[in-house]
Amino acid sequence: MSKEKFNTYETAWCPGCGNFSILPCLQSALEELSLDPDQVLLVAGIGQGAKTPQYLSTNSFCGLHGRALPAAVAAKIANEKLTVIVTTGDGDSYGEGGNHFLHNIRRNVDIAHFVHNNQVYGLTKGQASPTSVEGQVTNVQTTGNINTPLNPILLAIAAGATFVARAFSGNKAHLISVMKQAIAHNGYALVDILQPCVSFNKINTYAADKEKVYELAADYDASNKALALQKAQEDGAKIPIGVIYQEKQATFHEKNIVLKAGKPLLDRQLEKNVLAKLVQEFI
Amino acid sequence: MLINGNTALALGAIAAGLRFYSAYPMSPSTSIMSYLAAHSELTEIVVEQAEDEIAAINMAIGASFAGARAMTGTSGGGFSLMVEALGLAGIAEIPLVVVDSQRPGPATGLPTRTEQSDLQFVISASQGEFPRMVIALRNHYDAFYQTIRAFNIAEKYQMPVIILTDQYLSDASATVSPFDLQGVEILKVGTTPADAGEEYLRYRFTEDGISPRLLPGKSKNLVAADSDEHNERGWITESAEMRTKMMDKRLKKLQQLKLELSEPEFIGRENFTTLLLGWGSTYGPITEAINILNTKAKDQFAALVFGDIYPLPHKLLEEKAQQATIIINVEQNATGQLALLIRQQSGIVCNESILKYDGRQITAAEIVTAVLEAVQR
Repeated sequence: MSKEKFNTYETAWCPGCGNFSILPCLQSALEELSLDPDQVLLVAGIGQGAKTPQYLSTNSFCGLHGRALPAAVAAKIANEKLTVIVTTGDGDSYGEGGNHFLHNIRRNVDIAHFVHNNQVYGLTKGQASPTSVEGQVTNVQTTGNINTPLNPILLAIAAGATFVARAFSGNKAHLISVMKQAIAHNGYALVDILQPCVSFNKINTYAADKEKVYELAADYDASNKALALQKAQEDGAKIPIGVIYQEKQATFHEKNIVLKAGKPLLDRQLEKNVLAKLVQEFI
Repeated sequence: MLINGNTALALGAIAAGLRFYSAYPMSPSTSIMSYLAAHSELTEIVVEQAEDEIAAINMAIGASFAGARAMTGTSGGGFSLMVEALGLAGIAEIPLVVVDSQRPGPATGLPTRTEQSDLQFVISASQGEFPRMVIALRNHYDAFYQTIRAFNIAEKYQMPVIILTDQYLSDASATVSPFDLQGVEILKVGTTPADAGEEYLRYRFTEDGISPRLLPGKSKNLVAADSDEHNERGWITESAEMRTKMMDKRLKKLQQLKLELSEPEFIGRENFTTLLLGWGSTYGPITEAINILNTKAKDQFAALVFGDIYPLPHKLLEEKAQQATIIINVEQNATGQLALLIRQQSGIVCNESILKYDGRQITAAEIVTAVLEAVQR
């Protein structure tokens, strides 16, 4: 397939990094959805996965560590015509940005959130992330991680997310399909993408993850919340990949008193008489 | 019209074309958010209560990047959380207006009282060096007209502008002439694509350091913003040469800004011997005190009250300081933060200080008594 619309650039990732699979999948997903580079805004914080916007020819916003979501949802509020995608890591999304993760699920702004979840801090060279398994030895957790790993799928569904999916960087065709569904979803869409970190995570390797993941059956009912909560708890020896939960809910734009009129916010202008009318209230 | 400072400020923001306001409730800034929210539909401004102040400022930055004129507001505690993102607006060159309605700190301090103790904090907040402007509001006219100007400066120079007010001015109502926009210019958001040059470079090196700011999705050009040091295209760089050039480019914007600073307001007699220096909301009490002193006392008195405070305009200050036999700074803080700034920026040293930090607004009577004591020393 022609990939002339979205160009990729030279990266600074370690050879063998799972990001080398995620980047072309994102490129393919955007191509297959017939989007143009100038319609797309990729937003990231800081981290290895967060470098992704630097490597694809789209609009890009590389902000602060942990703060991708607030900037992304506000950009979408400012210009709803943009396809806004957050593409960043597990430390950025679930650690430093944990509070924003929780509350942007509640906002249900129409963005996609791709978490490159390698279960370790890559950029800072190998400390535990919120999703690191118990017992994982690192240069900080020297006798093994004693904290319970966060289950982002379970958390997102419980918090009311309208689209929750899991994918694996080692299954590209499946990842592209899930990415496309997430981008097409009307509302906040989380895709937690399991990916190996060849340099710093010797537990969740490509081979180990490949052993664990299995695609959800074709007849799996993603609208069944009770079932989804059950599936979300499969986070050990076997891990389901695919759209685990999806529901239709009004988005932020559909509910907000200003935005529901449909015109992009940045194209609005203050009507001439409004200021005089407001001033009059104080006279 | 009868209006309080925060509402006047909110009206200024509305007049300036505000489209997005995000904040976390914090006294004494909250009434800005509640006024804007109550008029959201009419004014077509999206008001979003953020989960914390870090989200509030990062949302405002994201909205501004995408083309919606944006502001956030808080008090000192919330501003403390916003500090890192202030630098993001600086390095990514994104227009942003941040309101800090001061209250006595540190930490929770006196939440419902007044103070002017965030000056040294906001002029230096955030790691690294980047251009910013700080405007202190002196009265209700400033709250309206200087807020409009804050948006224009943020837009023109693509940088953060901090508005310093305080609980006293935020909550105090005053009778003022009705606000209007006669003679007030409001800049449009972003650069017209046709003016951006053939090959679009978001951080293009220009003579004045100001680069064309296109909005993502509004032309075929791709727009990048980066909190890392970057090249003209907006891509991350480690180049020593590029780093130096980009720092120089950003800081160069201050040269032009300094030419359009407003000098402090001069109050009192031209033949003064005692000069008071103040800033922000003590404008009212200082003006009243000067009038009383010039009526009652033998000596002649005058004052300079700063609105634009960082970068510090010091032309009029240097001129008037030469004439003064005694210079007294009048401030609502314990350490004389304006006096420190003036000494740092101009070498001028205040001989006496009138400082109040009990959380209550200083009165003209208090200033008069303190000035007469100081003059006799």
